[in-house]
Order: sequence, then C-alpha cells, then structure tokens
Amino acid sequence: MNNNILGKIVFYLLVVVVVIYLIFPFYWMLNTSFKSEAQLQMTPATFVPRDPGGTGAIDFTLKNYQAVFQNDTFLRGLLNSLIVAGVTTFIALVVGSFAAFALGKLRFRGKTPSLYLILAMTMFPQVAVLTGLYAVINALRIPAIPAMILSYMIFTLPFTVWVLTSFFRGLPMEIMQSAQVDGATPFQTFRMILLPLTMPALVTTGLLAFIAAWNEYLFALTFTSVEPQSRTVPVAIALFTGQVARQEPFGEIMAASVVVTIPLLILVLIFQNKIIAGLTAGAVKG
Amino acid sequence: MRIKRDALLGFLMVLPSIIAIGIFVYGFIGWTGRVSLSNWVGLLPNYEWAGLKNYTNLLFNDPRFMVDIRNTVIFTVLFVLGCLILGLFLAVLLDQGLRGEAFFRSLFLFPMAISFIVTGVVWRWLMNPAQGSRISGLNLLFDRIGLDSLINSWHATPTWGIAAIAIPAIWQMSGYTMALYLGGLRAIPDDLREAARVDGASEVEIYRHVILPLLRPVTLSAMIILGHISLKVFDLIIAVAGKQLALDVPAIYMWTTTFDGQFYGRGAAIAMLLLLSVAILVIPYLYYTIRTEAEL
Repeated sequence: MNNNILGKIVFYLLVVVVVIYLIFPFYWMLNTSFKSEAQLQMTPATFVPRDPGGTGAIDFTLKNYQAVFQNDTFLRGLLNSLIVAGVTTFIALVVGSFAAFALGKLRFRGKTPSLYLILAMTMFPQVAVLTGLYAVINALRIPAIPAMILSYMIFTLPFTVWVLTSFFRGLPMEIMQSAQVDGATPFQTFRMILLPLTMPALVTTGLLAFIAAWNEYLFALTFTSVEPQSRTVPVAIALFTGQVARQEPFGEIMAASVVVTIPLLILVLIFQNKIIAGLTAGAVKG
Repeated sequence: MRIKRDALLGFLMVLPSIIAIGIFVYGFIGWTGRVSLSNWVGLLPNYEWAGLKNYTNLLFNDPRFMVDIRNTVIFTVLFVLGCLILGLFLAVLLDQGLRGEAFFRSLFLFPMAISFIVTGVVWRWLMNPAQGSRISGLNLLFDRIGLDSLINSWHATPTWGIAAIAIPAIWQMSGYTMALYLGGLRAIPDDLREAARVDGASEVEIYRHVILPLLRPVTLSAMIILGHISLKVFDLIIAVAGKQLALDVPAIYMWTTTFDGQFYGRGAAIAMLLLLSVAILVIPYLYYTIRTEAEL
C-alpha cells in the first residue's frame, strides 16, 4: 500500500517535470518577447518582465512587436514564406493526389515500380541534391522563390503521395464501379466523387506539407544567399541573430519567433485530430 | 477497353510525380555521386576522375569527419530513445482518459509545428551556459528551485556538448512520437484489454504484456522516422550554437566545406555517405511497408 502511494507520487512528479519541460520554452519565448533591452540585461533574469529601476513592478513592453512589424526584412520574409509554403502545398496536393489516385485505384503496368520509385525518396537527405540544385539554379538564373518552390516539391511530394495513396486505397471499390456504371469516366470519378471523399486526408497532408515548407531552412539558406530580398522567415530569424554580432536583439528575435509560430499553433489546434489520423495513415501501416 | 483507358490514365496521372522526382531527386543524386568521384575544388566545375579518393580521405584520414560520426551516433541514440520514451509516456498518459485531454494533446503537439530554427533560438537562451552572476535560462531556474547540482554548461560542455542538443530535439519531436503512439493505441481493440482484465491482469500488466507488444510496429516506424531526422540534423545545431567544430555533424560539414570552402568533391562525398546511411535505415523499412500495404 505504501509502495502504491510512493509510486503515485513519483508518477505525478514525473508528469509535472515533463509538462514543465514542454511548456517552459513557450513561456520563456513569450516572457522574453515582452521585455525591453534594459529588462533583458537584468541579472538575474526575471520570470516576468519587471521594471529595471528596482521597484520590481511588472512592466510589459510591446516595443519588440512594434519593431518586428516595422522590420522590412521580417515582413518580406513572412510574405515570401507564405508564397513559398502556399504554392508548394498547392502543387504537392494537385500532383500528389493525381499520382495517389492512379497508384491507389487504377491498374496499369509499371504501377509497383512507380510506387517504389516515389516512396523510396520519402526520407532522403536534402544535402544529397543541394549542390546540384544550387549549380543548376545559378546557371539558369532561376530566382530564389520559384527555386524554393521547385525544390520543396522533392520532399513534400513523396510524403503526400504516400499518405494519399493509402487513403485512396481505403476507399471502397464499389464507389468507383457504381460511378462508372452511371457513365462517369475514371477521371470524372476521381475529380467529382473520390476527391471530395479524401478531403480530410488532403487537409492533413496539406497541413503537414505547409508546416514542412514554412519551416524549411537548408534550401532557403542556400538559394537566398545571393538574393536577400527572397529570404523566408527561418532564414531571416537565423540571420537576425548574426546581424548585430555583439548585442543580440533577443527581445525582437523572440517576438518574431512568436509571430511566426502562432499561425502554426492555431492550425495545429484546429486540425489536431486530423494530424494524428494522417500521421497514423502515413507511418503506422506496418 | 476500360482496362486500356485505365492504364493510360494511370500512367498520365503518375507521370508528373515520376518526372519531378526522377529529375530533381534521382537526377541530382546521380550528379552528386559523380561529383563525389571528382577532384572538384573551387568555383569552376571540374569533373576530373578521382576515384574513391574523397571517400577514403573522409573515412580514414579526416579527424573532423570522425568527430561528426561520433557526434551523430551520440545525438541519434539520445534523441531517438528520448523521443520514444517520452512519446510513449505522453501517449499512455493521454490514453487514460484524463480530464483536459484535448488541451494536453494539442500542447504536446505544438512543438512539432515549430521550425528547428525557432526551437534552436529559444533553447539557446534556455541553455545559456553562463553561471554565477550572469546566470540565466534553465540554470537560473535550477538555482531558484534549489537544484544547484543540475546547473551545467549545456552544449558548451567539452566533449559531451552534443548531448545537450538532444534536449531541444526531443522537445520538438516527442509530441510527434506521441501522436504516432496515440494512433497505435487507438487502433487496439478494447476487447483485448477487457479480456486481459477479466483474466485478472493489472493495468500495468496489461500495458506490459498486451499493449506494448502490439505497439511494436509503431515503435519501428517512429525509430526510422526519428533516426533519419537525426542523421540529417542541421538547422537545430546552427540555431543553438552556430558552426562550432565541437558540435559538428555531417550535414554541417557538407555545407561549410561546399559553400564556404568550395571543396565540391569532398562535400558531395559527405552527402553520398549521409544518403547511404539514411538508405540503410529507410529502404528495408519502406520495402516491408509497401509490400504489406500492397497485399491489403
């Protein structure tokens, strides 16, 4: 009995530690983003923004957020990220759902090799294509934004095809057959009947593709190195840091981080059930 | 007739994906492979044949690459184990049907939506190695709650600094792992637990003997996914600590040697070795998964 109580205490202590581990970074991000330069310099650092004068009164400042929204690099970065991630997601879903329908519901020669060819590249390391892409993009003078969109396809597409194929495969064959009895061509069946049915899967894969593209750093860093006006948010934030070498504008960096994170948190909040379902469909078919 | 039409349509619908992946992935991997066998140094392309020189240099004659391998192994083991343990713990916790489940579920999922760059920048602040009067971040927290023994210099620790990088990485991906496990837990029929309960098994025993064995495929998937993420790690380390030799990994070595140093041949060889290690991990798994799916 004693053992039981001790076990419970240890268990709940563990829960508390884990929850703090998960929450504390968010909290610290928010806390820092509301601090002025003087408050950031306070030692020891305070757990809420306090008046640096010594009165210890709580004192939030919105200065960092104002600075972030007046920072052209950051605003441009937001716009660039939105364009790159949005267009990447759209193309990946269109091209991916075509392929997934064919792979999941049609019979044709070369289907299995196609499946292997596409899926084998779900997790390849991006550095393996980076230099070649960079050389070609430079040689053809492709601007950084289309270059990023093109290159992001190569990691969003295999994943999209994979998840959507298993969803299409899960749809009963009778739906297709009855549509065809009614005179629909296979493509009409795909567009008007099956595609609406896979809407939940499209939302999930689209969201995961969007997150991946929104957060991508390696390609963006490389392709925008000679084209600073095309930098996406992750590159802008990482460079924020380097710009002023001696004194990092930490409050502003944190405010910028909060601003780029909140849209994604809202998306996760809305679609969390679908994300779990999508991850399960994509990865746990074992 | 219909079969022919299906075949044509299927072919046409898969074609864009095949072309895109064929050119942009296989094509460029081929190019990287060729460059890795060349003497290319400097801005101008030089495809002069060098055989396996770049590879042998890296593997047998390059202290920096040895550091990379060591760092990758340490990081991978800690990161994968940490995510699996924490992810399973969180999933089982949520599976108990406790109050506020939806709230906790989204809280646990949040980090996976954040970029490694933002995670890295936040954790750089949290893992501030400063001590004494400049104490900050987690060290300050430890100081305040009286856990002084936990105060340490994080990624600035000599030799084992790379282990500290696993902390933000686990933070980022444990929610994802939890989602995978939660999916797996929900797929287990209630009858099984019921039957075990009727047979007199305690809750702990049910987890150990009934549920965990059934979650093995999930664990395998999670290991593969997390493993390939950790082999490719780049942005997180850059954001936490910048390009430091002590925290070097293959992806960072590849990037700096190629774009800062213009050693294209060597960079390509690193990329190919990384590809090979990911392939060894992923290809058997994909083969198995696709085959089981195709049988359905």
